[in-house]
Order: sequence, then C-alpha cells, then structure tokens
Amino acid sequence: MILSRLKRRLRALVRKGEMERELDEELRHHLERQIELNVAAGMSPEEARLAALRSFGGVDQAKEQCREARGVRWLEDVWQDLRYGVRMLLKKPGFTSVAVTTFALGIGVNTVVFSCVYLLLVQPLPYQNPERLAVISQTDRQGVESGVSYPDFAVWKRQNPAFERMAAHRAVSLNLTSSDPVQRVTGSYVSAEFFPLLGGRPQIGRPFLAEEFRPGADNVVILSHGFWRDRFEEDAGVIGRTLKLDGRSYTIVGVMPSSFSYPYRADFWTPLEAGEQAEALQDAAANDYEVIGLLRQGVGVDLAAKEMAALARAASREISAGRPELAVKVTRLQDTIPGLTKYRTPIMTLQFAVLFVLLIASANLANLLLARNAARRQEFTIRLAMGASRWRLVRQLLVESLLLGLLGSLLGTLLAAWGMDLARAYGDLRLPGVGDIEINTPVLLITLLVSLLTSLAFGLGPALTAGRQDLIECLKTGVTAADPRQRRLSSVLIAAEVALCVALLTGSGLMIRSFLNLTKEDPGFEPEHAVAVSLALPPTQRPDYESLASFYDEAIRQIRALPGVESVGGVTYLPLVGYNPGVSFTIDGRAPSPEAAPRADIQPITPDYFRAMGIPVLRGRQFTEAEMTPQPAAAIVNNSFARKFWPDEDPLGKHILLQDDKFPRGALVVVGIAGDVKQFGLHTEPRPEIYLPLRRHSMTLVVRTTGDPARLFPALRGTVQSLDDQAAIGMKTMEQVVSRSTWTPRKLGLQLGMLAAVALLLAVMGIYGVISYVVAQRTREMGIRLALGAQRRDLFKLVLGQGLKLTLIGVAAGVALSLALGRFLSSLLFGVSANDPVTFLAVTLLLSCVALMASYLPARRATKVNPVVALRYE
Amino acid sequence: MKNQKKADLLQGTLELLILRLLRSGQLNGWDIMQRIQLVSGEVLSVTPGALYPALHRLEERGLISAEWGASDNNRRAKFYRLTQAGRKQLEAERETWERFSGGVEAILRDA
Repeated sequence: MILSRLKRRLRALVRKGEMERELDEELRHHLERQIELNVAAGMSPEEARLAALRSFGGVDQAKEQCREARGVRWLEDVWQDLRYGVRMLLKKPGFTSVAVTTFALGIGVNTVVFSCVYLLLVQPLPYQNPERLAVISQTDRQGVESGVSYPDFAVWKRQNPAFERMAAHRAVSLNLTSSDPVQRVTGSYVSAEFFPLLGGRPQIGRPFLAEEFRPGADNVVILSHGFWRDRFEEDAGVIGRTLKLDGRSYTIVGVMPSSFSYPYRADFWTPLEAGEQAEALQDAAANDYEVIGLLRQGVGVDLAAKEMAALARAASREISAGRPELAVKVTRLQDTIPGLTKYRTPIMTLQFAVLFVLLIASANLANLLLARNAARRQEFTIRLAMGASRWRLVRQLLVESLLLGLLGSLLGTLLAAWGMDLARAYGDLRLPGVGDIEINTPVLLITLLVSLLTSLAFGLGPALTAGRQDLIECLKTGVTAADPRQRRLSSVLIAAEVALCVALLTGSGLMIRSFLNLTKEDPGFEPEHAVAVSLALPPTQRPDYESLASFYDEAIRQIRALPGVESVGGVTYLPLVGYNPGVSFTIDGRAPSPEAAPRADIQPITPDYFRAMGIPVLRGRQFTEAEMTPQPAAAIVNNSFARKFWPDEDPLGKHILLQDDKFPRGALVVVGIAGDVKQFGLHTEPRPEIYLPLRRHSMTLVVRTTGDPARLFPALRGTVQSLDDQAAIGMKTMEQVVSRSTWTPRKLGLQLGMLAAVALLLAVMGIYGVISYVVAQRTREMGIRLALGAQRRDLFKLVLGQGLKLTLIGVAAGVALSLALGRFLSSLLFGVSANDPVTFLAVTLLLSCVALMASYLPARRATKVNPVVALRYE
Repeated sequence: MKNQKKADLLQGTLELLILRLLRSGQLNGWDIMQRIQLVSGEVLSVTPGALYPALHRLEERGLISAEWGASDNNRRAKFYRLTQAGRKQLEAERETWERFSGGVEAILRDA
C-alpha cells in the first residue's frame, strides 16, 4: 500500500501533464453528461452548456482543489515555484543583479570587518585563564612607568598572597646573523614560569627544560609561528637545528602555535636566567623586566594592587634601602595590549560605517522588493480569485526571496573569503592582538541569517497584504496604484538611507580634512631628499666604544663619499616613529627636588644630524667630532626645552645633569638651541628634548642627497655590509616615514570615503528608483491634471519637490545623527572639530544636488506624459 | 424533510457516502452524483466542486482506486472502485456513523 502510494506520487510528479489531462477529461465527461441531460430536458445546446457550467460551480476552483488533494502537491509546487522563481529572476536581470550584489556586498564587507572587531574587542585572549592575567609594573612619583628588577621579582614570586604564580620577561632585539641579509629580530628572555603561566605549549618540539634556565646552560630558543613560517617555510625539521643571534648559537627546541603571540610580535623566546648577564640578575636598580602574574581565584585587580604594595615595600627593605620609592601598579593583561586600545576607535568607526552601508543596502533592497511586488499585486489578486491558496502565493514569494538570498549569500561568502585574503595581504588589518585574523564562522552565519531574514520580511510582506484588498475592486479597475501605506514605507526607507549617507559622508569628510591638516603640519625637519638607514649592531661584536666609534666614523665617511650625498647624521630615536624613553635631569644651580625631577626626551646623535635632517640650529652651534666621547660634556636643547626651563635666561652655557644610569652622569653644558621636532607624530605638540653627542649600537643614519633618495638604497646597503656583515639594516625614505605617521587618518579617511561613495551611489539609486516608481504610478493622475489644464512646469516641480522633500528630511536626520556620533570620532580628528560647519554644509549641498539630479530624470518623464495615452494607460 | 428541500451534507459524510456507493461496484463521478440524489430521494445533493476533490482525496489515501473505462454511452470515463483499505475504512466509519446518528436520534426522540 505504501508502495502503491509512492508509485502514484512518482507518477504524479513525473507525468504531470498526463495527470492534468486526465483531470480535464474527467471533469469534461461530467459536464458533457450534464449538458446531455439539459438538452434532453428541452434546452437549446447553448443554454444547456451555460446551465451545466453554472451548476458545476467553478470548474477552475474544483480543479485546483483536486490538485490540492494530491499528496505530492507541495513537492510539485516547490518545483514549479523554483522554476517560476528562476524565470522571474532571469526576466528581470537588472533587479536580480542589483539585489544579489547588494546582498553579497553587505555580507562580504560586514563579515570581514566584524571578524576583525570580534578578534580585537570581543574575543578573550587566547591564553589560559585570560581574565585572571595581570601585568605588574612600577611607577615613580611623576607617573613614569617602569618594569621590575630581577631581585624584586624573585622576592615577589616567593610568597604572594595575590598571585598564584608570576613570570618575568624582557623584550630584546637581536641580529639574526645566520641569515643573509642580516635581520633584526625581536624576542623575549622569559623566566621558567612564563609558558606554564600563559598555558602556552609548543606546536612542535618541546617546552624549555628546568636545567635550561640555569646560568651557563647551553642556549636554546623557541620560535614563534610567524618566524618559523617566514624563515623556515614551516619545516618541521628545524627542531634541533641552530641559529645565530648576535653571533651566538642557539638550538631550536620548539615552535609555538600561531595563536600564541606574547609579547606581541615576539619572534622567539629564550630562557632568561641562562641568557642574561649575572650582574643584571642581581642589580636591584635595573627595572628592566615586565612581570606578569596569574591572580588567585577570586582576587581582583584592586585587591591585588593593595597586597602588592605591601609586599613591594617589604621586598624593597629586604633588598636595598635608599632606592627611589616606586609605586606598584597592577593592570589587567587585556588592557595593556597596544592594539586593543590604539585601534579600538578606528576599527569601531569602520564597523559603524560598514553597518550603515549594510543598512542602506538593505533599505534599497527592501524598496526594490516593495516596488516589484506592488507591480505584481494584480497578478496575485487574480491568482487568488482563480482559487490559488494564500499559502501558495506566500510560498512562491518565499522561494523567490530565498533564491535571491541564497545567491547573494553564496557570493557574499566568496567575497568575505576574498576580502580576508586582501586584509591579510595588505596587513592593514593585521592588528597587534592575538593571533591571525580569520573569518569568524558565527559572525558569518549571523550576517547570512540577518540578510536572509531581511529579504524574507520584505519579500513576503506584499504577499500577505495582496489578498487583503477587495478582489472585485481590484479586478474591476485593474488598479495597480500603490497602496499609500507602502508608499509611505518607501519614503521612510529613502529618508533613512539619506540620513545614514549623510553620517558616512560627514565622517569621511572629517577624516579627510584631518588628514589634509596633518600633511600641512610642519614636522620640524625637511623630509624631502633624505633616507633613513636604521642600523643595529650586535653589542657582542663591538663591546667597547672605540670599535663602535670606528664603525660609525667609517660608515659616515664612506656614505658621504657616495655620489649625490650632501650630509650624513646619526640619530638614536628617529622622529615620528613614536618612541623616546626620556630621562630625568636636574639643572645645575637649582635646588634638586628628587620628588619631581623634570623629564625630557633624550636624543643621542652624531654631529651632522641637524644638517642631514634639515633641522635649524636657532642659536649657538652644532656638535663637533671632538665632542663624540663616551662621556660627553656638551648638550643641545630644543626650543621647547629652552622656553620651558629658561624662559627668561640665556640657556647657552648653562649646565644639565642627567639622572639616568643609561646615560653619562657628568655635567653637560648647553652649546646650542635647535628647532622643535615632532617626535611622537604630526598630531602631537613638540616636547622638551636634549641632544647628546653619543653613538649607540642601534642608530638611524639620516642621509641627505641631491637626487632621488630611493636610488641610493643599494649603495647604502653595500657600504654598511662591507663594514659589518652582522649589522641588521632597514631603509626608508624620510617621506615614507612621514607618510607612515599619518597612517590612521589617511587609511580611515580613504576607507570611510570609499564606503561613503558606495552609500551615496546606493542612495542615488534609491531616490531615483522610488521617484521613478511614483511617477509611473501616477501617470494617469498626471494625464488628468494635464487634461484639466495644468502646466507641464507644475508637474515637473511637483515631482522634483517630492524628491527634494524626502532628501531634506533625510539630511536633517543625518545631520542630527552625525552630531551625535561626532563625539565618538573626535579623538581621531586633527585640526577640525567634530561639528565642523564647512564639512556639514558641503555634505548637505552635495546630497541635495545629487538628489535633485536623481529626481530630475523621472520628473522630466512626468512632463512628457501625453494626456490621451495616460488616460488609456490602464 | 418531506418536501423537496435539500439538505447540506455534513462535513465528512460525503466520503462515507462515496465509500458506501462504491461497495457494490465501480462507478464514475457522474454516476456517484446521480446516485446520491436518487438514493436519498432527492434529499441530499452534492456539487461537482465538492465531489471530485473528495474522490481525489480518497484515491490519494488509497481507499479507492481508479481506472479508465467506457461509460454508459460509450464515452471514456474514470471509474473508481473500493480498495481493501477502503472496505475496512467503510466498516469503521459506518459504525461511527451509526453510533453517532443513534445517539442523535435517541435524544430527538426521548429528551
């Protein structure tokens, strides 16, 4: 029985035509018998036929119900709907491609950006117990943060009420001398507790052994995933091999997985106690180590800070009295990761922008579906009258919407994958965080779901209302005129689109203005025609100052001899790169106040630096070669320094004493005043700075030429390599250095600009579509107006006015929205206020013009209406 | 009930009537409609719009089967016959109906 039913169903499905014919024949047989009967009763053949039909009571409804009675109907219908849906989509390629593209763009862009947002802002750190990890650092009375000395760390970890365990590490940059060319690599000395505390285990190889931390043990190293990938092409055979760092051999024992990246961008890790000098481990004043700890269960950061303060005081007494007193600070590890704080606002801005574009796209899609389904309302009404069930119509629209949605989703997913590759390749989105960016599956799924629901909601709405109107009325007048409710919905959608568009345009406008303002800023030096050659020499190879001096002297001499080179000067902390450790100092002749020793940026340079960089020396003189001694006695200060510390005196000839172990302690006489330079970026104010005539192992040589600076690269590299084959070299033109420092506003301005352009395009399409649609709907009305004596100019104005009204409402809402969101953006702006009237005015004008243009074509069409044709139109 | 007034069929009873009429042999749609009117003494009537969907429903449920044959005046017509399952269903529904109508009758008589 089940078998026979299955057979019947299959037959019904496969031989549908035959079933239909049989149904026809069966009902015809009935009708013919009725007609015969009627004729026999004395009616004329024509009368008999009509009477038979009447008594039958709706042949088509009966047929439809018979089909309905078949169990296969739904399958059959879905198949039919599917074919019909595909046909409908193919028949309207314009609509289909716009809808699918809208879908795909929305899904693709949103997935990429939100995956990054998730990675940066939502996802917990990929370490064991991330919420219990904290960084313990120290601050002096001025709030300058420093690390912890090894003796302190040793006492702290011995008995700690707040932390279950503690680990110390110190970032170190070394030259990978076993590669060609020599590379600068960054890694960490880590204490034995480091990996167990973070819960990190090597992906291949093994963790460090306890004996490998003993001083004097053989050098071993664990590589980061990125380093292993870039240098060794993920060769699992690297375990047991050696590599040379600063000339010393290290045996590779393990490779960490890609998710492990602490400290950020570490290339390698090596045991601390084995690698450091014995003195460094005993120096209670060398606050060089970052200490991380795992908070005990239930202990918060505040409580831990209190416990640590008491412990630190006790430890301080135990180790050495008379050190300057430092306060202990406990911060959640999560809050110390630079990318999380630095890129939060730009990323969130981008996410908002993308969300806005997605909303605009959805509004457009909704409008398209609304307009299209309104045009099909008559079709639906007729089909309802013909006996089609409501459910059947809904199902057909469902299938069509789903088809659109699935096509869009497919494309969108492809787009997202491609966008991720792009993001990774360009590195713009490779943010300092925690492992690699990849498509976040839940994010993708949610985006897909939201998009599908949008299409369903707006696709189905019309089907549900289609039957609600009076069938007879609709059929009688053949009215396809828009439902006023729907027209209102369209208008609201358009106004919302315009509002979002305004927000995007003002956002990008503000960013672009910030960027332009930044490029107009004077960095304090001349970036044109200059190259920055960053050098790092392994200290192991040049332990004394003489060998260092001979290298720099020779390098500078040879480079200056290159054709086109005008001057060469070395600098330790290149401006705009954004780093300077700073020093405390006292001014000779003033009462020393240990509580608040003043601080300034410190800058060891070689004599020709100011000339090479194009920094003016305002008063006094530059350094001389003779002053380049290990214990310099001269200093040059910048203008800000002079104005801050000697506002009413002549700084020349005054003395400064540096209060820092890393710099000479002797008195420095001020011999010159240099112009201010923006050390920390174009958007920052210059800070007081002290220049010292001193060479360091890591310096940047600034080379000024007469020609194209990039052409010098090979010669510069060759010169340095011939002098020291262990030196790591990096080269950039100074113009590249400047442009890197405007990265955020430039990139964000560009990206927002692109999104705003897409939004504008979508909004124009939306306005054009809706106004055209309204004009088409009102053709008959226009015709009547014309016939009654209205001027064509009036019609033109009427249509144009409608477009403009929508736009202005949208613009007003958009301006309000932008003002509300402006506060959020203001931290990223430079030289322009978040409510900059120029930007707002420009955006308002732009949108009004564009809206006028979008309404112009349909308006002109309205004036071309021929009253006679229009009245016959329906 | 005596005059020519026609009664509407109760929901579900049409199917019972069809099954009962088919018990004695195969019939086509037209015949079934005529029989219902005739046998009920013109009291019950059914429209083709209700009859044919009911036939298709019964066929779909496997209670009746159909085949094409020649009708009285040699026209091709679709003839329905009762299946084994249909026979069982008829017995079950008939019992249900008798209990039901008996109940109604008892109330009408005695209440």
